[in-house]
Amino acid sequence: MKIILFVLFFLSFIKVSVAQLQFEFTWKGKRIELEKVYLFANNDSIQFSELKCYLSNISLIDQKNKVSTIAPSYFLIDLEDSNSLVLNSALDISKYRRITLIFGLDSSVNNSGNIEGVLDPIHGMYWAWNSGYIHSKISGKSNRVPTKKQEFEFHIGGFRAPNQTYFNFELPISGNNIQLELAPFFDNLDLKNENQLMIPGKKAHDFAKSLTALISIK
Amino acid sequence: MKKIKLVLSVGIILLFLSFNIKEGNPFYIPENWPKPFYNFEDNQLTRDKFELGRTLFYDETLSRDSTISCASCHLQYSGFTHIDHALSHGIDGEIGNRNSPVLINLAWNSFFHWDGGVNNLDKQAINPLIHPKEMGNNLPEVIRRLNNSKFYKKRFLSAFGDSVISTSNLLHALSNFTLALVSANSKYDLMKRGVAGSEFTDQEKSGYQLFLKNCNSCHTEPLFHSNAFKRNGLKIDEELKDIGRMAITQRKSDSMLFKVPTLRNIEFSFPYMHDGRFNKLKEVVDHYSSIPAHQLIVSKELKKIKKPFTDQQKKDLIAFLKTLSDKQFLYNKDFMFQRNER
Repeated sequence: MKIILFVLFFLSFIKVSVAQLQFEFTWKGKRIELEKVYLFANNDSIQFSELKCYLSNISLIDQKNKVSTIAPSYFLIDLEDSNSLVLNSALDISKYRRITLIFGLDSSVNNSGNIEGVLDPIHGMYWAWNSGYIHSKISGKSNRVPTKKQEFEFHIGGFRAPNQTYFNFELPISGNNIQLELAPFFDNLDLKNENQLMIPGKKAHDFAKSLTALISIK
Repeated sequence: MKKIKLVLSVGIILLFLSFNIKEGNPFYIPENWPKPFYNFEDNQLTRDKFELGRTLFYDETLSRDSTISCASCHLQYSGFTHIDHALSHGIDGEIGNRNSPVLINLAWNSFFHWDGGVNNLDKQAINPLIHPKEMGNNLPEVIRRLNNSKFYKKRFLSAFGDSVISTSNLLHALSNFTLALVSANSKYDLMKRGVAGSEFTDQEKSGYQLFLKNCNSCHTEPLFHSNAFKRNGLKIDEELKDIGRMAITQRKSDSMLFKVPTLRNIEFSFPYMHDGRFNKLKEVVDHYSSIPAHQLIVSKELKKIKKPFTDQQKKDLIAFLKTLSDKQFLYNKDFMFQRNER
C-alpha cells in the first residue's frame, strides 16, 4: 500500500512536465526573428516587422480516436509577444496522435458578440467597417517591392463564403512545434505587383489557403 | 384602520411605480412585434448599463480631440440622425460618404450601415469611434481614457461589477442605451391598438392603402424596414462613387444595393437616401413614382409599383408617412443628455 502511495506521489510530480505546443514562423526551416534579414534563393532580401495570426478550436486525437479540446478555444499568435507563442494546455500532447485546428476564426466567431480576451478588437486584428477579424497579418520589407520604402503589408481576413479565410486542418503530431513556413509563400508571390492587401476577397482567400498548406508539426 | 390600509396601499403602489420607472432598462418588445435579432444572452440589459451607455453616448471625450460625441450625428429629435446634413460631418469638420442612419428599434436589425458591413450591434460602435472622419480615435486610447477617469471607473463598477473597463463592457453599455431606443407610439401604432382619438383621417387611410400596395414589401410593417438590400433606382453619385453592398461582399451582383431603412419618424429624419440627396419627402415619393418600368437596375419590388402616382396620391402617401412620427420617442426625457450627472 505504501509503495502504491509512493508511486502515485511520484507520478504527480511527473505530470508537471507536460509537453506543450509551441508556434513558430520559419524561413527555410529557421525560426524567424523580427527585423532580421532573410534571403531568397537569388539573394533578394526580406525582413519582417509584424507576424500575427489566429488559431482556434484546437483538438487532440489519441490512439483510440478520442478527441480532447485545448482550452481556451482562441489563440492570437504574435511574434512580438513570446508568451503568445506557447499554446498553454493541461493536455500532454505526447499522448496524442493527431491534432486538428482552424487557421483563423470560423464564421460563428466572426458573427458573435463575444469580444473577450484575444478576440478584443483592441488588438488591432479587427475590421470595424466590414465586421470581422483579420485572421493574419504579415508585414515587412523586401528589395523586391518597387516602392521607396520597399514595404509590404498583408492583412488577410474575411469569413463570407466563398472568400472565407479560415481553414480547418489535421496533422499528425510528430513534434512540439507548429511551424508556418513562409519562404514558399513568398516564392510564389509577385512582390513587385502584390505588396498590399487590406480587404476580404478572392485574393485573401487564396493567400490564407496557401498559408494553411504550409503549416506542419516538427 | 381603513385609513392605514389606504395609506399603505397607496404607499405600495407608489413604491411599485418608482421601481418601475427606475429599475429596468427601458427596452421592451411592443405587442405583436416579431422576435428581435439581438442576442440578449450576450448582454444582459439593466438600468445601470442603460444610464452608463447614455452618458457615453453624449460624451465628446470619446473622440480624439474631445469635440464629437455619438449624439453629434445622432440627435434625438430627428430620430437620432444628423438632421439637415446630407453627409454627416465629424472630427476636424471632415465630411463622410454617407447620410447617418436613424437609431430606432435597433434590436430588430440584423445588419448595420447602409452596406450592411456590420453584423452585430455591439460591434457597430467601434466604427464611429475609430473612423478618421467621425470621432477619429483608436480603441486603445478610448479604453485608456476611460480607465483614467474615476467617474467612469465607478460607473462601470456599478454596471458591470468590474472597474477595469474593457472594450466589451464599453460596447455593451452603449448597446444597452441604443437598444432601448424603441419607437412604437406613433399615431399609426395607437390606431392599430384602437386607442380613441387616433383614428386615421380619410387622407391617411387612402395613403395607408397606397403604402400597403406599393411600399410595404420592403418597408414592412410594423418595423417599416426589412433586413434586406435593394436597388432603388438612384443614379450613382459620380463624386462619391458609392457602390453599396458590393464593397462588402465583392460580388458584382451586389453593386448599388443599399439596406432598406425604417420609415418610422421619417417626417423628422431628413435629408433622405444613403447620400442624403433628397430634402423633402415629396422628392422621395416623386422618385419612386417616376422610375421607368423598363429600367433594369432596380429591385423587382419597385417595378410593381403602379406608376405614376397622381398628385393627390402623393399627398395621401405623405400624410400616412407622417402618422409614423412618435413624439413620445423623439422627446422622451429618458433618452436625453442628463445635465446633472457629474
